[in-house]
Amino acid sequence: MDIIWGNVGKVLSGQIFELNVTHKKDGNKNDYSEIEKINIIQTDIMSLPVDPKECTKEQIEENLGGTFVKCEIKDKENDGTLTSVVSHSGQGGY
Amino acid sequence: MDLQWNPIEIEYKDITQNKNSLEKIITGDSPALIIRNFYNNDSCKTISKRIEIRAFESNKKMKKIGVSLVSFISRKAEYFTQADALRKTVRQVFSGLEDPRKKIHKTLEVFFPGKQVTIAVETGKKYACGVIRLHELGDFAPIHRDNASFEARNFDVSKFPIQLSTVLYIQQSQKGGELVLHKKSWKKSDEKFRNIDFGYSKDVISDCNQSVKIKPNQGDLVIINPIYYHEILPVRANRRITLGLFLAFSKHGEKVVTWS
Repeated sequence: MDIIWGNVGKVLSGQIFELNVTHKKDGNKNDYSEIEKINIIQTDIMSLPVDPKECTKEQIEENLGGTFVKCEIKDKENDGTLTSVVSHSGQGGY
Repeated sequence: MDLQWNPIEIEYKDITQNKNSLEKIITGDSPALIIRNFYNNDSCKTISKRIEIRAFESNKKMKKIGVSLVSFISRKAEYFTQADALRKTVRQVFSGLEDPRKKIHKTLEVFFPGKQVTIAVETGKKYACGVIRLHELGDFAPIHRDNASFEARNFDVSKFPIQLSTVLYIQQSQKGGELVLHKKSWKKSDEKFRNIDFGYSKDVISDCNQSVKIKPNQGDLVIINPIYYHEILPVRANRRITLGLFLAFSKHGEKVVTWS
């Protein structure tokens, strides 16, 4: 499974945001550009509803805006949007 | 290194005469408050020995004893379960000795007269109180900040406007292991400098021109404002053992709460 990391940029809807990609997993099968559109299909971010479909654009902006997240890519939609599992990253168990 | 941004050093016995010294840590005018001879050296040695035995008995490489909130940001229920599960383990490390966590609480009462100092509680659940960290040969901590208000927004402690970090040096490494404090506080746009696993790349402090390296002694307590970037240099000989505890408060609130 491909993984990319980066900061949440422009929020487009309650499920979709632009990711400013800063890191890519070594061995990713696909290449990724500096900005990728992410469709959240699952998240462990506690301040968001468990079902991403219930998220509003404002909730994403408030809780994810600017944050560093990990996106595990499950699929690529026809328009290039990456359906992904989104989680907080950078804590490292410290 | 700029010599003007220096830590404040006081002796533990003199804390009542230095009650206002924390203000400079909060404002960032000083990088750290070092309280010399805070905790008994023999007790530090006993604790170190106990940890050494525990580390030897443990099959996997032990890095910490206790729970830190940052490891459970997306797992709040598990954080409180683990905090309770490990409370006894942490207490055992200090058994028969003066509990340094209680001593830290008592000291905070001196710094915050009129405020009640307690372990943070959220919907009846007590936060973890103290995490002992072990840095072995070669271990280090990259540039990071520990302020809980950004990612840990689900935890009530994140709502306090002022947060500080206390670190008791139970064992100091013979070589390396210095704490480097950078005069630059975190801002949201710095998130682009994140490392995947932990901390930030050096680029985050590229515009910072004041840093200070400190190496407190065994038994010293250090208080820093953790929104300022800091790092631990690689340990070059033996082991570095510290006890960490955060505290938070609001200027006009009645409480100072602690957690790890």
